[in-house]
Parts: sequence; structure tokens; C-alpha cells
Amino acid sequence: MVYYVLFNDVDNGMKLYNLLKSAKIAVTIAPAPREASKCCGISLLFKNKEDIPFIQECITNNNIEINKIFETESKINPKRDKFC
Amino acid sequence: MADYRQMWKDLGMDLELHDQLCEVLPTAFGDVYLSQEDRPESMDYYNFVVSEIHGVRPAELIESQKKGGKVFGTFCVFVPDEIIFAADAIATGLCGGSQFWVPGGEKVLPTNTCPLIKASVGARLEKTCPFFRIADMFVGETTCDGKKKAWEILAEDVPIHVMDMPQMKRQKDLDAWTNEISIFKNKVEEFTGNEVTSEKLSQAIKLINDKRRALKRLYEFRKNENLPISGKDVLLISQIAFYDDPTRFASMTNKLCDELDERVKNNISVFTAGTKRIMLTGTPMAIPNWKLHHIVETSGGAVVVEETCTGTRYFENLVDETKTIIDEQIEALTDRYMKINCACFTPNTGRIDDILRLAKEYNVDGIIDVNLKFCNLYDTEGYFVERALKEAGIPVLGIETDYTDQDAEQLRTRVGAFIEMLSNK
Repeated sequence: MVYYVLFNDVDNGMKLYNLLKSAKIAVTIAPAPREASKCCGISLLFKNKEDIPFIQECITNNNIEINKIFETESKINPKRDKFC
Repeated sequence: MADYRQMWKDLGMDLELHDQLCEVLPTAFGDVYLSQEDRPESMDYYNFVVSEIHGVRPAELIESQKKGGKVFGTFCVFVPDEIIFAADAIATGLCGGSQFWVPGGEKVLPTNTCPLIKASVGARLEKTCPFFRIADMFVGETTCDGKKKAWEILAEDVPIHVMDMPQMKRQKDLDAWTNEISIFKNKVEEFTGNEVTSEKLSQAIKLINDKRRALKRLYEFRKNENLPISGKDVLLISQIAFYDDPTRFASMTNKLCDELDERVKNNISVFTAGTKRIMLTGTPMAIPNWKLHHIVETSGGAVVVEETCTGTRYFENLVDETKTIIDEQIEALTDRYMKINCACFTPNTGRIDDILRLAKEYNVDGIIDVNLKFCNLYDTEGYFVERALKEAGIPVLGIETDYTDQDAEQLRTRVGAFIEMLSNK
């Protein structure tokens, strides 16, 4: 499974990203997956389920507004050859 | 995931149609980029730009317009951004790298027009690209017949200034280009109401040179035996250079390069030893055209350099920063821009020299001459390119493709066979 943190605006997304990076949490900026959101924009992608409590604590302690944390199976497939 | 729908609506965009593009981008980006292992952490900035590509930067451009600034949309590396920034305006690239926009272009253009032109026209006419909605003026150029006629169609819909490109590089042609830059300067001054002074032009020359320096620094890493960054990541960075704020882009790219310095010190490579080093030469790859890079880099190859307008042609050679008189500065612009070796010139032997030089500098194992379908100029010039490479003993594969997925399987077979052939040499 992989996890996406979704936001309603960029500023909250970047604030959380910087905090998680400072805490050495493995997280990547990714376009919000379509099945989780109908809006184009950033999300934070992470793979380690054990990081969820820390991330949630970080969100609460720093008054970061998020939309949700979305859990899904990884659909990344480098041999799909569907471009846009 | 900020909600930009109100901004897009205010721009007069077709939200329903645009939504179809939003739908495919996350999956394609995930497959091509997020599937990579051990990417530099600083690539997150470029992930951010792509994720917000129709949001954050368009919003910045609109903010600038609210303060009276003008935005110029450009299509080609020959348009001197320095003049635009010197008039306190902003130059931006435009949409043109996706099959999504092609059918819209085909409504008004012949099918046998290159996909880059069809996509650009389609993005404007179908109202699915914020940059095409925001720009106050568009700057075209006469680099090919398809573009020349496309500008006439676009001109019915938007203000467009066309720069008359010379077709040769004799002194009288260079003088003509100097004159053309002067005409462009007058046009920009008139449109913005801001004078392009020598001081302002000096600052703008430095600004754009700094972007070129950052890209050159980035490309230098690709000369290493151990490649600290993939070719498709560098392609993405080059594509973003056309849209991003130049100061921020140079800063973020230099930050990435600092990380790459550390990777080189630690012998980190994103490819396994023995991966074949491939140069791509040919037509530009506008965002989000990542097809061939992705196929090469998932077929046993690494793209180490692109002799294209979204590669070395974009950043090689700096504008002389020592000139302080406006006429001399414009001549310095001519000197730099006329060093770009585009197939629109006849003859264009400088391009062959560039390819052979780059092949040595980047220690390439093989070259793919890749041209967009219906680009007659580059397709024809391929005759000389491929002959010169064969004479130099450099393996070459000629490919003609477009933005569709339909030939992906066939390309995988051809590219895979080419790389296997390189391995057996």
C-alpha cells in the first residue's frame, strides 16, 4: 500500500513537506491521484505505514490543514506506456 | 490539491475538457517519474511544479498582470526572452507537448502538420491551457512553414508578433536578425509601456544567462561515468525552465546540482554499470512529452544528452554581459542566438559539428535521431546527420514518432534491439 496526504491548498502542503523532510521522513511530492481528488495539485506520497502516527502528530502540533490521508494500492507501472 | 477551478473559469477555460487532462497526468507522471529508484531529493521541487503546473505558476502570472505587468507567450528558443524581461514583462512557454491537445489543432490545421504545432493551436482554440489564456501577447517566428501558417490562424484569436527568422547565416542574415530583435524591442516597449534601457537589458541578460549556467552545470553531471541523475529527470527540468520564474529556476537547479555534487563524491549512480549511454538529437520535447526518454531508460539505456531545443540548444553559449550600449547588447543577442544550429537554416553543418562534439563530451555509445512526425526540416536533415554518424563510427537509430501511445510497443522493440546491438559491439 502507499499513502497520499491531500491538501486544500499548496501552503499547507509545503509546510508539512518541509517538516517531514526535517524529521527525515521518506516522503515525495506527487500529483494528487485522481481517485482521491478531482483537483489538480500536490499531494505528499509516502510508503511506510508506520510513519502515519508521526505525520498525524506533526499535522496536529503545527496546525496544518489537510484534506485527508488516502490509502491505496500502488498503481505505478513503468511498463504501462500510457503517456499524456 | 488546491482548487483552481475558479481561476480557470475566470480565464475562460473549458473546465470539462481540461478535466480530462487532469485525469491522466498523475498516472503518467507516476509511471514515468515516481517509478524511479534513488532519485535526488531535490527533484521534489520539479515534482511540485508539475503537480501544480496549471495552478501555481499561472496564479503568479495573473498576480503580475494585476500589478500592470504583461505576459508574453513564446514558442521557440530563438525568441530573446532578455528583451521581454528587460521591459519588466514575463516570458512563458506554452502548452504543446501532449496528444490531448492535438485533435483540437487538427480541426483547423492539416493532419500532416507536426504534433507540436497542432497541440499548441489546439490548446489555445479549445481553451484547455491556462498559459494560452493568460498571455497578453504571443511571439511566433518563421522557423518552419507549418508555424508560419499556424500564426495566421492564431492571429484571428490572439495578438501575435511574428519574428522573421533568417534562413541562412551570412553577415546580411545576422544583420537582419539584429534588426528583427530591434523591431521586437520596439514592439515590446510599445505593448508594455516600459522602455528597454541598457541597464534593464544588462540585468535581463544576466538573468537569462544565469538560467543557462544552471542548466549547463546540470548537464555537466551527465558526463560522469556514474550518472547521479536520470535523463528523464533532466528532461523534466529543461521543460520546466521554459515556464518557471528564471531566478527561482536557477536557484533550485543549482541547489539540485549541490546535491548531485555529493552524489558524485559518493559514486552514486541511478543506473547500473554498463548501461548504454544514449544521445537524443532532433526535434523538441515539450512538457509532458516524456515518451522516448522513458522507453530508452526502461530498455537498458540512459539518455546522457539531448541535442534538441529542449536540450543543449536552449542553454549553450551565453550572451556577452560586458556590453553597455543598447545597440551593442542587441548585437550580442544576435551573436548568441545565431549560434543555435536549427534545421531551419541552410546549410546547417554546425549541427553535425555539435552532435559529433557532444558525442565525445558525453562519451555516448549510440545516438537516436528522433523527429516528430511531419517535421520535414529535421526529417530531411536526418540524411546528413545519420551519414555523418556512420562515417564517424557512431551507431545511430532514426525514429519518427508523435505524442500518441500507439507506437510505444514498436518503439520498445526498436530501441531495445538498438541497445542490445550496442551491448554486443
